[in-house]
Amino acid sequence: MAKPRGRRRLVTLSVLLLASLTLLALGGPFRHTASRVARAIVSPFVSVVHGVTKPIGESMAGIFNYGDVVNQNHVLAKELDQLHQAQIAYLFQLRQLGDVMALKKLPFVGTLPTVTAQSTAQNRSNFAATIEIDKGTDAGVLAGMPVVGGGGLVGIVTATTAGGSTVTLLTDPSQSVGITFGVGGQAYVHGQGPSHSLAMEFVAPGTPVHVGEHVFTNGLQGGLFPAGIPVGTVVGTFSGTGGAQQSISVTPLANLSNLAYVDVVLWEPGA
Amino acid sequence: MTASRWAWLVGIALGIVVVQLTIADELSIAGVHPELLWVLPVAAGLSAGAMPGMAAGFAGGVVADLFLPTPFGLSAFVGVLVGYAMGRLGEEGIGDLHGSQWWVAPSLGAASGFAAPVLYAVAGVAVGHRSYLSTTLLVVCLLDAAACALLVRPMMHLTGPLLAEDPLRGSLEPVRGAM
Repeated sequence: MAKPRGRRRLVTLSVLLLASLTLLALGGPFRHTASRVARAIVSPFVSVVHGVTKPIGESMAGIFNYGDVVNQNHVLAKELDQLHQAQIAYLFQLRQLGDVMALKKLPFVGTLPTVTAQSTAQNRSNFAATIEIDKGTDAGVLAGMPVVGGGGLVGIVTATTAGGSTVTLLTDPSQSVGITFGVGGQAYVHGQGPSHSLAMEFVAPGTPVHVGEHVFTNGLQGGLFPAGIPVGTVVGTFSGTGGAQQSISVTPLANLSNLAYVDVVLWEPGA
Repeated sequence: MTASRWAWLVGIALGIVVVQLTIADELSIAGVHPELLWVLPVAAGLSAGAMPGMAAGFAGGVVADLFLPTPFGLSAFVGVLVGYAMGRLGEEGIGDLHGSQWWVAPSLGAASGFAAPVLYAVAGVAVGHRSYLSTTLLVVCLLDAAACALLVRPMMHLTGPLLAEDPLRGSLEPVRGAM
C-alpha cells in the first residue's frame, strides 16, 4: 500500500510543479482575467476590514507621533510659501522651455495632459518596488505611461485594470531611465532596490558631474519618457582608477516611500 | 483531493489575502512586510498530509500571485514544494496538533517560513529576476518565519478538519493506516 501511495504523491508533486511552470510561462492573459475576478471578490471584504483597522491604526499613530505631526505641519507650511514663490518664476521658464522643445520636436512633460490618482497600496510584494493606484484604463491610463509626483518621476505604469493600475517605481531594479545632466550630458539611471539610491551609468571618467545637481529625463530613450521630468539629485560621485565610467549615485526627487497622490502623464511610449 | 476541498482551499487563500492586504502589509519593517501565503501549505501539510499540503501550496500560491506584481506561478511553485515537505513530516505525525509537543509545529512553521522566501528568490533568479537575491531577503525570511510560527497552529485547527480524508478518525489516520 505504501508504494502506490508514494508513487501517487510523487506524480501529484510533478503535475503541480509542471502546472506552476506552465503558469509562469503562459500566465499573462489568464492572469489578467483571473486577477480582475479575484480583486472584485476580495475588494468588499478588504474595504470592510480596512474600515475597522485603519481608524485604529491612524489613532495610535496620531497619539504616539503627535509632536512629529505638528512639526511636519510647520515645515510644510513654510515649504508651501516658498513653492508659491518659485512657481511663478517656474511657469515663465516652463513656457520658454516648451517652446524650445517644440522647435526640436521633442515631447515635453509640461505640455502633456495628466490624470491624478491616489496611491492605494505600496510594495505589495517584498520582491518588487511598486505602488497600486486607483486609476486604470477607464481613466485613460495605459501600460508604459510615466508617473510623476512629489516633485519628480515616480515610475512607469506596468499593469492596468479598468479601475486601477500597478506602477513600478524608479527604484525597482527592472527600471532604467535615460537622463540629461549638466550641459548636454546624457546617461542612464537604473534602480537598485527600494531602499537604495539610483545608479547613474555610462558617464565617462572626467565628465563634470556635481553633487547636488538635478538630472532630468532626456526624451531620447525611443520615446519611453517625455523630456523634462525631474528624476533625482546627484548625491555622490566616484571615479576609480582605470574605470571605464564613473560611479554616481542619484537620490530620487520624489519621496517614493510616502506617495499619497501621483499624476499619470497621458503619454504613450513612442508617441 | 475532491472539488469541495479545492474550493475550501481557494476560499481560505482568499481570506489570507484579505488579512495580508489589510493588516500584514501595514506591519512593515525596513521596507518589507510579513507574507502570510506560506502559512497555508505548512498548516495543511502538517495537519492533513502531503497531498493536501501540495494542493494548498498550489491554490494559495496562485491566488496570492493574482495580487502581486511578481511572476505569475512563482509562489505556487514554491508553495507546492513547501506543502510537500511539510506534508511528509505531517504524515509521520511530526508537528501533529495532538500527538506532538506544542512547540513542534511553530518551529517547523518558522523553518518553512524562513526557507520559503529563499526558495522563492532562487526560483526568481532562475527565471531572470536577479534582484530577488538582495540584502533585504534576510529581513523577509525573519518576518515570514515569525508569521508562520505564530499562525501555523490556528491555521492547522482550520485546515485539519476541512482537508482530512476522514474527519471522524483524525486527519492523519488514513495515511498512517496505509503505511
